[in-house]
Amino acid sequence: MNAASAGFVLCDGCGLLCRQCHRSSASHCPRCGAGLQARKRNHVSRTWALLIAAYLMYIPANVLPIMRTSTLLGSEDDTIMSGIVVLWTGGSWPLALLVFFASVTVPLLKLIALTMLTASVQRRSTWQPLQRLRLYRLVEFVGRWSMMDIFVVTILVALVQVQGLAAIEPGPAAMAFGAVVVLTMCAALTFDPRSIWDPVESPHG
Amino acid sequence: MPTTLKSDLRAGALVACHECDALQRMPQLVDGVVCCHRCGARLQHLGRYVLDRPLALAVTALILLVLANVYPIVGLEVGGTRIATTLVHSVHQLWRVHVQLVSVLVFLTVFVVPASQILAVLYVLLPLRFDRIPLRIDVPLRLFRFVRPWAMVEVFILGILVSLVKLARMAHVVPGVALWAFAMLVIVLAALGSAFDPNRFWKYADRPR
Repeated sequence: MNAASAGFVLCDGCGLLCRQCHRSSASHCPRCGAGLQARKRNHVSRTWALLIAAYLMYIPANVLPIMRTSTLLGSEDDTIMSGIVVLWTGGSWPLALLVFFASVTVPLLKLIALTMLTASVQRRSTWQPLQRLRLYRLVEFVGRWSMMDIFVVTILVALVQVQGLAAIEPGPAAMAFGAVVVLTMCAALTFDPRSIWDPVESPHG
Repeated sequence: MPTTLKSDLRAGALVACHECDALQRMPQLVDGVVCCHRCGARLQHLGRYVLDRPLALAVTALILLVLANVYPIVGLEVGGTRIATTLVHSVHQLWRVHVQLVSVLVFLTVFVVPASQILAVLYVLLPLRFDRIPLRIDVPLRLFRFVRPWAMVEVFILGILVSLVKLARMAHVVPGVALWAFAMLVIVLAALGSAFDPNRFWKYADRPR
């Protein structure tokens, strides 16, 4: 039984279960005054917009260099992938795996999972709602860890600034990758997981 | 069952001691710790003492946050040159090399969001601890919930550790006080998240007009 079909709404602000007002004017929570909405506003179209933007930023984030190392021997550009390869061939394979997981696997997983979830909601699919919800939980949980590479670049840039000896600078991919992280996190926030069950409850509604 | 006991049970005012099983009435308006009348075991915290745990955690978190920003996170020694960085220094360096948006993102997720959470909790709990109701309590309560996904101090720690390992190959790396402060902050913030339940404080908000 859905709360929405029974005429109840859970307040986003304070968690109070309120009776839905059927007048066209927006109703407010009697405890905290927040606007009540049964489902997040325009959840499908907003999530698509954010996902498309994230896909667009994903390309420069991986193609362009994320870090520029200038030493006495010259300067070297590293993309996310080439940085991982350098770590692997240099012997620190646990680190290479960690960076691969945080910077390649997690963003890709989020993009693909959110695409699949949003498409399934838009098409009113009734396939395996619990598994889809678990996928959403996974996306929400791992999302923040893709910020790791940004923090690595931050520390390296801040420390290795010995002009003439060695200097590390962030490359253009840093901004793009940061954008991917923010956009996918926002996409996960605009997606309303309760809508997974809507076609299950009311197949023709 | 005698009638008074039955009505007390229905009213939810009866409790059994978990240590000596004495059946007794729970007082409703006592401020402090309620003890079993037979064996003295602590039954429940009432009133202002419930606030002490999240308050202590919030104050600890504030101190740790200050330490984490005043002291250097990590230092590097290469051929006689020494350089160390704090959070503000790192953020400033990013701004200087023209990745301003990344600079803002790092500053927000590592400093602004945790700081605002801590201040929100303090704003709610400190007046209540001294029997005053803070003005506009709805602002910090809402703030605390909404900014939560954007606090990334634990990811920051991992990023620092990865960069330490990367640097250790080429120079002598010195972990600073702030590194430990950030690590402890992660734990304290997690504890604060479970000790502070914003929904319990909505009863102090003004009736919305």
